[in-house]
Order: sequence, then C-alpha cells, then structure tokens
Amino acid sequence: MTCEEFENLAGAYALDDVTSAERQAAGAHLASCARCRSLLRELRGAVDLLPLAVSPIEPRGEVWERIVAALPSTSSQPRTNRRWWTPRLLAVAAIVLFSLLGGMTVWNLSLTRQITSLQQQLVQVSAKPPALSEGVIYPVSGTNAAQTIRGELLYLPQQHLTVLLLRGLPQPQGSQVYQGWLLHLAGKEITGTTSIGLLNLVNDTASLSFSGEVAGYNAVAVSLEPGPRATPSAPKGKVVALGILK
Amino acid sequence: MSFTKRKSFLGNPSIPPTSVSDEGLIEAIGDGAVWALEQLYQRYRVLLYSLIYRMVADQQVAEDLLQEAFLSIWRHANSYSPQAGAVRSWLFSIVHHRTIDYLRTVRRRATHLQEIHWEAVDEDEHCALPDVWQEVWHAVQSTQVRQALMQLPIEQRMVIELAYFQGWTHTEIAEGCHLPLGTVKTRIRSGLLHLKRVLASMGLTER
Repeated sequence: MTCEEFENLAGAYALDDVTSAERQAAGAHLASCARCRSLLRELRGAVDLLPLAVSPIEPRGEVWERIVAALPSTSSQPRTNRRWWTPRLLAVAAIVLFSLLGGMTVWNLSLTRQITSLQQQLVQVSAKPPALSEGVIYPVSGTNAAQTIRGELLYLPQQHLTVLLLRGLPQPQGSQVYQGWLLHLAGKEITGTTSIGLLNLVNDTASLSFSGEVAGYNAVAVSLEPGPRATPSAPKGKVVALGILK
Repeated sequence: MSFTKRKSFLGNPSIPPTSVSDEGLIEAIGDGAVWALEQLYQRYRVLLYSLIYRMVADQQVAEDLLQEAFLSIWRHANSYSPQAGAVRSWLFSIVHHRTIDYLRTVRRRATHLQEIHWEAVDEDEHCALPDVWQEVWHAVQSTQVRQALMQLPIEQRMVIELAYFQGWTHTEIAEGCHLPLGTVKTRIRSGLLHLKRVLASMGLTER
C-alpha cells in the first residue's frame, strides 16, 4: 500500500470501517511509515472526542445491579487484592501511622509536608481533567453568616474558558434563579457589573462556564434573582456568594 | 501542579483511597476487583450510556448494551495497554463497536437523511453534570465538541454523523447519498481532520 492509498483509506481506518484485507495492508504500511502513522493519530484523536458531542443521559440505577448479577460467580471476592493500595498510598499510611505514634514538632511538620507532597502526587495520577493542572483558581465563599456556600472560579488559559462551581446552595423558590456576575469595584463600591449567565443547579451544587477570562474584573458574585430569566444589567436579588479576583 | 491559587481546589486534604487513576482501576479489574469495576462504572456510566443511547435511541437496548460493555471490560481488562491510548478512548471504542454491531445487525435505517439534526448549541448552554470537577470538565468538553462539529461544512458533518453515530458503512453512505465512494472517504477524512484542528484551537485534545 502506498501513502496515497492509505491516505484515501485513513478516515475509514480510523473509524474501523475497513475490510480485513485493507486492515492487513494498512497495518503493514503503517509499520514502516511515520507520516501515515501521524495522520492516523490525528484522525483517531478526533474520533476519540466524538462521543463527547452527545447530550448526557443518566442510565437507571438498576443497570449496575444487573452487571454485578451477571458477573461470574467466582468474582464475588477479588481474585487478588494486592492492588487495593498503591505504593504511594502505603507510604501515606505509613507516614500517618508514624505521626500518630508521636514525635517532635519539627519532625511532625516535616511529615506534614511529605504527606501534602504525596497527596499532590496522588491527585496528579488520579483521573482528573488534565486541563485543571494549568488553571487559575479563585475561592468563592457564601455571604451568609454560616458560610455554608463554598466554591471556586477556575480560569483555564489554554482553553480561554472560565468555570464557576459552587456547593451548598439551597434550592431556589418558585421561579428564582442563581445568576453569576463579574464586578468592577472601587473600594467597597460596585462600579460595574457584567452578567455571566444563570447557574445550573443539581442537588446543592451549581455551575456555569463561559468562554472568556476574568481579567479586568475585581470580583465574582452569585445572586438569587427573581427569574425565570436572567436579570439583564445588575443584580436585583441578594448576593449569596462572593469571590475576590486577585 | 501549576495552580496559582490552591486554597479550595484540594479541599478535603484526605485523599480517599478510591481516588485511583483509570489505569489503576483497569489493572485492579484485571485482578478481579469488583470495587474497581464499580468505580469505573460510576466514573463513566453517563458518558458511555449517552453515546449508546444517542446511537440506538432506545432506553432498554442502550442499557443492555451498557451492561454487555462492562461485562466485556471485566473479561478483557488485561488486554488494555496504556500504549494504545487513554482508558476513556478504550471504553468508547468498546461501546461504540458493540453498538455499531447491534445497529448493523438489526439494520436500523429509520433515520432518513433529511431528518438528521445536529443539536444546535444553545449560546446560553451551561454545564449539565456539575458535581465534581471531572464531571464539570466532561460537560465543558461536550459543549466544545458540539460547537466544533457545528463549524464543519454540512457535507462533512453529515458523513461523520452517518458513519460514527448511525453505524453506516462507507459503502452504505455512498449508496444512500448517491456519492462516489471515494468522495465519502475524502469527506470523512477531511471532516475528522478539520474537527481535530478546530478542537485543538480550542485547546481540547484527547491526550
């Protein structure tokens, strides 16, 4: 197979829509052609992202129960459990155990730093959105006395995307909605407001995202608006959460 | 990590032992750990079920296929290799192939070309799955991918829809759309490359 022939076949190959003869010929060509391997990588990169285009739908809870019921009977206990603990988790557990046995304050401080470092490494190897590692995060707190509302504003510079996430928000009443704002402040006075849209609330967690950044603004706020649509220019309702952007 | 502010992101300082990487879960599943299969299921059930349902438009069939996919994952976890790609891609591949096989088996051709609708992306669309950062990020990526697809020329978008989401073979697309087979293959290749570049310009890559 020539490069031109593979190029004609590449889309079908990336979608796995080729005959066994075509697959064999393409495989033989790819084994010796870096240029075509690069093309295939690029095509498969797009194919890998296509499933994200669909709207999210939750399966019913009983599906997992059916999966478990269908597992072979020998899987009622793990065949081995040696992978329960990764070496890093064992190290954290050992360090925690040492700290519980007591020691000098300086030694404990050193251990705390080591634990934090290991936890950071654990977070790094955990499944997480890769882009978050390049984000800028601003904490957002509730304005109520109990401070039960907590969240973050995350700016992802590579994607030019900002995400606001809040937890602890009570369910709004009637047609009320939670709306996000970016604020210009002069001291304690609000000199300008820009609506960033309505938050989507699921249970007690709300979020919204928008293309853009927060440079030039002093604060982010969330208010409880009368709804059902967004309030156009400035908050009418009570500000329930606030974060300073600095 | 290059966080500028980290006051809240790490939140709870105690990392629960269930915060295992995808690769770690697959390895544990290969060792027979049901807890790892459950965690993988909880982590990916919405993404995978959504893809299946999008393709078959039948709740019961989609649930059956999701169940079959996870049983396949259980049986073949040891066949996964990190060199071949991310776990997520491997999972998508499993469910997509199973669903394609189902569609071609039942020869479901109810969707006429004129009735294909790409869901228009609402400009005010917000995250739909906010609970933890990973789900928020999935929702953000979903919006980005749909926006990118809408930027493709209609002829490229249509063949991708038919090939990937409807399970049509290239030959079937050529016959159904009255196009030369070569044109279909070119449009799919061009469409995927175009999509990849649009997504890359948005900063979205699979790996």
